[in-house]
Amino acid sequence: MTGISKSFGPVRALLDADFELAPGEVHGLVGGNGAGKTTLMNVLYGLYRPDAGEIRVDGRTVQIRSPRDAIGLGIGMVHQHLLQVSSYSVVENVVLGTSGGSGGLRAAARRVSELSERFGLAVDPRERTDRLSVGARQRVEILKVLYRGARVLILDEPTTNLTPQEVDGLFASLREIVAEGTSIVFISHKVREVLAICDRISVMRDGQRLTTVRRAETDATGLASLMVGELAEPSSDLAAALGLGSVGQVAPAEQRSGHAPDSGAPLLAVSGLVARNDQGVPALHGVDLTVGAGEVLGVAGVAGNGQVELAEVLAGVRPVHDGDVRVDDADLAGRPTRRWLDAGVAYVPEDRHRDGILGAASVTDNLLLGSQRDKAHRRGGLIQWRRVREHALATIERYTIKTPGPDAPAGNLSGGNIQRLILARAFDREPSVLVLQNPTRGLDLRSARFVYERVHEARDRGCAVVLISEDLDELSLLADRMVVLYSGRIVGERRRGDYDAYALGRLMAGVQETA
Amino acid sequence: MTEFTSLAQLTVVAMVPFLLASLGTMLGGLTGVFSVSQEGVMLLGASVGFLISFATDSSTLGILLAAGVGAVFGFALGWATTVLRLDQFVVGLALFFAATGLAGLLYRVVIGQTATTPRTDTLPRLEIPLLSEIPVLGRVFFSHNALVYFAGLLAVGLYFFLYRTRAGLDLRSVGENPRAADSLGIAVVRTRLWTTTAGGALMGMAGAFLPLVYTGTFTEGIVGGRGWLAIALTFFGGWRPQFIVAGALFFAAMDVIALRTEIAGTDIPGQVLLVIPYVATLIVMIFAFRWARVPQFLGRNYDRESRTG
Amino acid sequence: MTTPVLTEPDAVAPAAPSLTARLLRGLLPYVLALVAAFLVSGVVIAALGYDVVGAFRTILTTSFRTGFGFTETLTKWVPLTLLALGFTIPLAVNRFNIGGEGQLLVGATAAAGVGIVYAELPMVALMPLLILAGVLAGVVWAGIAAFLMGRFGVNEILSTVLLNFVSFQVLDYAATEIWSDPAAGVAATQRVGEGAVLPDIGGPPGVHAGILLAGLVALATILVTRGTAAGFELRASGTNPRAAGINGIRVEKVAVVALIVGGALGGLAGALEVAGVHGRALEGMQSNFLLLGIIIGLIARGSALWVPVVAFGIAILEVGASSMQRTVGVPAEMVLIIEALILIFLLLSDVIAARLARRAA
Repeated sequence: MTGISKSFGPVRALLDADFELAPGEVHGLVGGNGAGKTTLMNVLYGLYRPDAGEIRVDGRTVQIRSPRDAIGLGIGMVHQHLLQVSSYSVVENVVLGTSGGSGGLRAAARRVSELSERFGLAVDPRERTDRLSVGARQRVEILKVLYRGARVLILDEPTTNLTPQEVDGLFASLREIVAEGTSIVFISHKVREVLAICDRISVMRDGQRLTTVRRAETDATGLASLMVGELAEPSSDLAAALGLGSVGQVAPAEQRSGHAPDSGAPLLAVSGLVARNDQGVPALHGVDLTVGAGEVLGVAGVAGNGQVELAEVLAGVRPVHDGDVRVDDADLAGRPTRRWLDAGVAYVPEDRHRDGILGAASVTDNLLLGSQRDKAHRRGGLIQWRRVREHALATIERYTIKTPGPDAPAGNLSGGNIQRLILARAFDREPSVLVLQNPTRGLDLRSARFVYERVHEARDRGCAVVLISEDLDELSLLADRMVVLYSGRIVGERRRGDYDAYALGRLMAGVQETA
Repeated sequence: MTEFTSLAQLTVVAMVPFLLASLGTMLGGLTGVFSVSQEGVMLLGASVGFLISFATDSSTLGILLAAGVGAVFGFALGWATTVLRLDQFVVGLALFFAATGLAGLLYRVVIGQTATTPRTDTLPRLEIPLLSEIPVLGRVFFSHNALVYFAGLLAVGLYFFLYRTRAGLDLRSVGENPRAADSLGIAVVRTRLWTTTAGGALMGMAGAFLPLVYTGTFTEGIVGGRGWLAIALTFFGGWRPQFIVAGALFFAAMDVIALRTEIAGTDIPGQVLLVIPYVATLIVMIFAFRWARVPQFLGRNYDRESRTG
Repeated sequence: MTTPVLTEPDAVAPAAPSLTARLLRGLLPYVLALVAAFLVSGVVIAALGYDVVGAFRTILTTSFRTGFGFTETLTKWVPLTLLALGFTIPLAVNRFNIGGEGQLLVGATAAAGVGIVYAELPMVALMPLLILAGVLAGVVWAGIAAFLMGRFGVNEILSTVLLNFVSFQVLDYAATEIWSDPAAGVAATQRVGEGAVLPDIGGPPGVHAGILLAGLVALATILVTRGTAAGFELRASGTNPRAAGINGIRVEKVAVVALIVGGALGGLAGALEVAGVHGRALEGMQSNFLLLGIIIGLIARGSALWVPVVAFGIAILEVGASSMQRTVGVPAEMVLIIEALILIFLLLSDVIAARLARRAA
């Protein structure tokens, strides 16, 4: 691939990028969020049409207009968000789009079983995909690519939702696949994983390929500095955002000063909490939590173990099926969301676009959202738009939200600025309980750091903070105490200083704690 | 012929417009395109079917052209919602208006103002040899016009195509998860285009059925809400042919009951009988929306390069 | 998927364009849509062998040539505006009220009932009672759909539409069994009492005083949707129901209330048609106000501010249509096609505008 450029509206995602893949290698593609890794591979897979550039396969120039073209050229891709028809069985998902091929579903199922045995990708071809774990669904995605006889396998952030143990299994399968001559592109921003599996590593930054290095010629520090582009020693915030800092390292001491956790009565007390997921199936089975004023409680765990449900219950959005949730000793279970907000709960949701903002409405509207009935904003039943606007301007300034103006649609802002907006709105209510879920996912480093500073600020103000995150490094950095959520239960608790990645990984994978 | 046999036979006939319109709605819906223009497209089909049959004395030609005009409207819906990615409901409503206007306009232009209502022949009955001689069943099922058989065979054929073939698997995946389908090389836009086009053709045929089988004449109120009822039926049938057939039986029975008891003369006011199909549907929908599953991507457009979908 | 933030940290989108530029860009699609719709329908009219110029002149000028034409236009404006608002208010929460026809008819039936039963009451007492009856009937009618939607998740498009068909029979029953007027020729109720007939203003020919009420309602709708917390919540619920819910707005409740308010406006339209136009409830009085109300709401893009303006334009076309059929011979149905084309071309020009904007960027 040479000279690839691609823009989305005003955002230039790729600018004259190039990339080269040799036969039979695992090629790591690394870079921070927004460096263009996924976009570049989506171009190769025909999902995005490049504005400029050329792609050659086996020396011949090719036009890839759609995934069909890519598949025809032996290219397969496993996306970060698993693309499956959840009501179909595994084999039905695998054969989708190959109706030109011969043989019935039974023959296909045999072929799938054979492939899964050969490469150690255990999965039952007859099972419905929505009954599978995330790890198994990912194996289905890889089988889809192998079934089509791909020579190039692109994996986009394949380890995001896996436990350390599952990652090891995945790597073993990848080695088998490469051994048979297939090339692999491994997109990641986790330096450790890239170093563990890749033969060569290309670093992307600002929509361009910066350089390519051999595995043997580099180490973690070298690679990280290439990615960040600041050759100065990476600070721990940067390290955490990059997934680099070795877990267990205690954050710099100065961040901990002037703070005494567990002081006073618990601000947030959850006991025997049972809640259901969107399908009506219990997703939380008797969760107990207490968080004191000025304490940051981390909730670790692999996605899909009740995190979303826990976050939404604590935000007052999802009904409490059983048990109680007390904020400042007032039981809020069964009360409307409005009452939770009034009780001082603020929520920073994981999916910012879907849950956080009114995309088509202005920044001003978004900052007003939730406090539209406050007396401060109204007179005689009418919203005082002038005052609201002035307030919005001040907030934009204070939280350094980059926007063309207070009237610009919030949906056009970048992820980092949307997160600033959401945080600004949350802090405007002077919350006593702050619930965050994966607050830095998809953010650039500057914005991630901004989020961390706000979490510290909340803690210092005496807020009870619940940080639900899949990123162990982030949790290690911020949390005073960490609990692990597995299958809707709290299966373990660790205090600061006792955070060990593999021990936590075992808890996250559901392996019982031994003594 | 006993009263029961004749009622049963009438019910089978009354199923046809519901079945055709609902299967058409289902086809587009299974790939994610939700049409709300049935009522208009059916009226246009009725108008075109009647006029062509009236002018050429060929009801077959009338039905085919009605299907053709319906297909044009179906294609327009598909094109506007995939290539242009316009809102499905808004486009559906706009096409509903356009079809309604066109139906009336064509009739006025061709027929003009007349003292007597012009009539055309209704479809001939095709008795299936041997089968039609079976007692009761022969009358009820095998003694109808060609469109009735067509609708029955279509339902069976669609069931096998959609649930027993790989092409059907591919088709349904477009309405369940178009991004997944697209990533595997299934042409989302093309699939949506042909299902909406075929669906529109079926709606046009459903409309033509009304003047060419029931009345022999065209009036502005001839569709009488059957297009909207067909949407309800599609939800009720969970977007699957086999349940849609079962549901069509229910809708047709309501239709026939409303018609029959009125003629039979009872103490119940006629208005009460005439609302039976609509009220029954409202009640049935309370349950239908509970249990019926719908295609996951129903009513939503797909944009390959959108970053949030 | 990660969001590329390559140029993000320092990127600032271009400054907002000036007011005139924005106004021009806002109006341009409308102008294009109008021109294209008339062009296409002109070709159709010519192909059918009619006088195109004459047809369009009649359509566009009938309303302004005589006082009678203008009065008729204003009279039509009343139900059109009310039904269009009744469509757009629920539309703001992404709910489609296709039941304006039914709400109008039950409103008219209830209003006529009150006007007949209490025919002896003086106007000060009877008129508010009649209007209240119409509004309440509309509330009940939309309330059924709203209840089914809120409680059982029944699609409101279907329930509101099906209730239209039920409403025909409600009116028919009232007009043939309860307050029948056999002399009327069609199914119609008896005439309402003296105190239930709205006086004309202006003229002669004048417009019934209901237009003042309709105008007030339109103004109130603009004020409420733009200036109050309730209007803000309506807008927020429509823009992103999940985010609205997370921030304490009860979206389901907002949608139910919006649908009921829409029904109230439909019922009011029915009452005003009885008190101001027909003096009774009768079969066919709903005309094609439902379709037109939806078209107006969609052309106005759901904006309460634009609905009255667009409604006036559509009223001109409608009044012109019947005149065109009489004088030039083009069937009145042609106008429905013109209106549908305006809507379709407006949608298309939005697409074109978006593509142009993208290319420019």
